[in-house]
Amino acid sequence: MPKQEKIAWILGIGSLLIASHMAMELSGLLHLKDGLVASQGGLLRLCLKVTLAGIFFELVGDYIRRRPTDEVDMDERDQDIHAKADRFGLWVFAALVMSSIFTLTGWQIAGVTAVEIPAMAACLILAMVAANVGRHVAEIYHYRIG
Amino acid sequence: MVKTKLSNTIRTERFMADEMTQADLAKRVGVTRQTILAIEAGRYSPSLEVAFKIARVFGKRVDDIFEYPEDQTAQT
Repeated sequence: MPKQEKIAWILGIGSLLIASHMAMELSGLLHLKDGLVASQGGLLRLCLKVTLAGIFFELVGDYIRRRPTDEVDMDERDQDIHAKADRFGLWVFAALVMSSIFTLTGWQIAGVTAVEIPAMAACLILAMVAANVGRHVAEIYHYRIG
Repeated sequence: MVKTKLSNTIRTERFMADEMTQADLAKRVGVTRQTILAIEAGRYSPSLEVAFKIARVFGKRVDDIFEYPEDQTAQT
């Protein structure tokens, strides 16, 4: 397995773990009390934790990716695959942001008196994390098919 | 597996050039072995620059190594 594909697998599994951790914690935090999201502090802490973990993972991946070795590490095909994966990730992000907007609107219709900033931030960060998973999955897919 | 329309004779040329390995060719062209593998299998169309480099390794012209079907050209 080439170095770039190995890194794609590591980052893919890492981002999947972060996304599943966030999704699990989020389901516990998003309960309503008097028409408002109860645990706002918990949501903000989770957002911060997930953002930092995501940035750390990507920086480590980027460092390993760019570390010079004897052989050619990254060529035009790798760059092409990364561009395709980035484009796919962007589409996933756009789709998830749209669904977040509809979900939050649905909440308001369902009786949540105000959609708070922490809930919106959590939805956007979850969309970002999920889009990142999509990006790495697309990268692995393109490496596997050729 | 998505095949490109571009066909090539890299495998034959490697065989003719003292059974040059994909790794050797990759090193001389400046790409990874996986890229040579993908080009050979017709799963990746190289840039013009890489195509020229490959052709020069074998001392041939680009259109001796790579071929694009005639009917596809006529359609565009």
